Amino acid sequence: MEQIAATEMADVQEIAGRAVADFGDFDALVLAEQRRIYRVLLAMLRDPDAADNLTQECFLQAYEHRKRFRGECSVRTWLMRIAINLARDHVKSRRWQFWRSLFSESVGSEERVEPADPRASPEHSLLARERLAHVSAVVDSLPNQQRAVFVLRFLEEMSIEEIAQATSLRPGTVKAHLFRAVSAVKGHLKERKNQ
Amino acid sequence: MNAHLNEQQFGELILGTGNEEIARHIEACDLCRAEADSVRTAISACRQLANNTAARDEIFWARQRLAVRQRLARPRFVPHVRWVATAAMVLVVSAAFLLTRPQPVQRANDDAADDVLLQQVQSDIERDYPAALAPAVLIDEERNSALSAGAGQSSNH
Repeated sequence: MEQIAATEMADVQEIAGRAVADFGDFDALVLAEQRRIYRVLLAMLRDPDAADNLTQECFLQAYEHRKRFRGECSVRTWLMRIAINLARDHVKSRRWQFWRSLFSESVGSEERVEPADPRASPEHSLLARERLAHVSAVVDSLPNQQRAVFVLRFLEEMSIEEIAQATSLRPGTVKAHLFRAVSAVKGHLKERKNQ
Repeated sequence: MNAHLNEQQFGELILGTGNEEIARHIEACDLCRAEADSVRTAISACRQLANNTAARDEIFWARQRLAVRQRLARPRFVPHVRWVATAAMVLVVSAAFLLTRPQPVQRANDDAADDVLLQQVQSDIERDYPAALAPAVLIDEERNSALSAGAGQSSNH
C-alpha cells in the first residue's frame, strides 16, 4: 500500500501509457493499479472474493480490449470504467445476491479494521467506532450509482470529470448523485446526534 | 443568506466547489459549519476504513498478479461459448419456423382445387339451363328433331 501511495501520479500514468502502447509491460500496469481497483470493487461490493475475481477480470478485459482504448481518458480512468461496469454486472446478477449478503455479513463482523485513535479514551473510541459503523452502513445502503460515485469521489478522490468518464454519466448527473449521497450521510449523522 | 444551506449548496461545500456566498454563510452559521465538519470527519473515517479493509499482504497481490498472468495465458472460451449458444438458438428458431409454416405443396393443391371450382361455377353460369334439367332438354331436342323430320316427309307426299 505504501509503495503505491508513494508512487507519483505521473509515474503511474507513464507506466500505464507504456503498458497500453506495448502490452509487454502489462505486468507493470497490473502492479500499479491492482490495489486501487480492488479497493474500489471491495468498497462497492463488500465481497472480498468477488472483488479479487473482478479485479483479475478487469485486467483481462483491459488486455483483450486494449485496441479499443483511444486515449480519450487516462488509462487509470479507463480501467476504472471497466471495473465499475464489472461491478454493475455483478450486482445485476441475481445468482450472487445470496452469497454477497453472506459475505457482506462476514466483512462487517470480521474483516473490517476500524480506525481507532490511540490517544482517545475507550468510551470515545467506542462512540467513534459506532458512528463510523453507522456511516458505513449509510454508504452501503446508497443506491448503486450513488455509492459508486461516492466511492470514486471521496475514497479515491477522483475529479468529477474523471468520475463522469468512468461511469459514463454526465458531470451534472455525477454531482447530483454526490449531493444526494452527502445529504444522506448528513441526515444520518443528524439522526444519530438527536438519539 | 439567512436560511441554512440547501442540499446542493451543502454538497458543493463538501465537494470543495462552493462559491463565496456559501463560504460566507459557513463563516457565519455555527450549525452548518458543525454539520459540514461532521460530514467531512465521517467521510475521512470512511476513506480510512476502506483503505484498511482493502489492505492485503504482498503475497495476496503477488498471487493476484500471477492469476492474471495465468488467465491471460489460457484461451478464453466464454465468448466462443456465447457465440455457439447464439448460433444454436438461431438454428432452433429457424427450424421451428420452417417446420411450423404451411407447406408450399399443400398450398399448390389448394390453389388447383380453387381453380377447378371456379371453372365449374363459370361453366354453370354460362349454361342456358340448370344442369339438373339437362336430360329433359335432351329429350325435348330429340322430340323436336323427330317432329321436324316427320313434317318434312308429309310435305314430300
